[in-house]
Amino acid sequence: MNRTSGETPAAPPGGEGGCEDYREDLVRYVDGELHGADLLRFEEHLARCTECTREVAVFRSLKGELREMGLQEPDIPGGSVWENVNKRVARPTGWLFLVIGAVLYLAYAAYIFITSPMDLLEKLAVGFIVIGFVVLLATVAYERIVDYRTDPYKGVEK
Amino acid sequence: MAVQVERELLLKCRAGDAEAYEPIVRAYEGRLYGLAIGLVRNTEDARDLVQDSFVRAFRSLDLYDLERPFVTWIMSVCRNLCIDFLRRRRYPLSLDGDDDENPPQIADPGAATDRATLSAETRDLIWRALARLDEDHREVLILKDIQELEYGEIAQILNIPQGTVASRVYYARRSLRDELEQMGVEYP
Repeated sequence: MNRTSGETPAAPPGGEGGCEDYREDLVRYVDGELHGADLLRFEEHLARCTECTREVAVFRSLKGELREMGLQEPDIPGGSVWENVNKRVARPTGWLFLVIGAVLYLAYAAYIFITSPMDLLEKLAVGFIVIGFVVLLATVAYERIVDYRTDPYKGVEK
Repeated sequence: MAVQVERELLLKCRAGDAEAYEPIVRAYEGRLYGLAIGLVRNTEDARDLVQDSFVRAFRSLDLYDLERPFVTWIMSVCRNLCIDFLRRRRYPLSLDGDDDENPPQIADPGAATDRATLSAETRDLIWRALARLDEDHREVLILKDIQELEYGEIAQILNIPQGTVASRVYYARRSLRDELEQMGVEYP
């Protein structure tokens, strides 16, 4: 890569037409992924085409420069991400136990409630209140989730 | 990492053993970060996306075909998350100012003599030229020329035919050359 001395941009290489059929072969050739008859055919073309020869040289230069950027495996700021990944992939096990425990406890509470010596009318009243409360809570939670997913301004920082 | 070892670790992960995931994460996090930083160009976002990629992959391991190379699969997951992230960031507001203006630092350039021999000025120039490319062109150059993947691997990651990959690489290199020439760089 050479920097031009002045501020005037360098003129783009002209006369690039006429080699359209070889474009894929050209990049495969630069990348060492052209083989057999295709390779021979392209090398024959290359031997008599100055434009493709120049393009091969430019592409090789660009490829080398990108490789030398040292970005294939750059250091991650703050070190490895493993600790954070581990917290997130291990957590579902904890949630699973929590949910199983809560469900068992609620089932036991419901059993105690149903088999208690309370009047049937009182049981129905308490049952409807609890079910109503749960349905309302679930509806509000569902609406919040739908709102969040369709909010066009959620990407805007306040 | 040997393919057989990797496969055994992934089978343990599938069975829910999170600890078996550690060598996998440590083996590929650098390459994923290289891909993410090239695409989203912001260190914090890139780090978050690498984390999200590993978490998403762990939870979707049942969908992973053990006969395929893991590296292309995990890079595909990361690439998709980066593209989704860029789309969300672009709409409804464009927050172009979030981009890092300088390329990520290399801790010890001297240790990688054949990999990081460019001057700081040249690295900055190429980093800025990459930023000016279309998303498709930048992506394919990162996969081909920075990550040094083969056409077949890139085709798997992008889910496009190999011929399309080659064609895209061709136009991406020309676009990069044009951008660099506009910035005052001369090629023969």
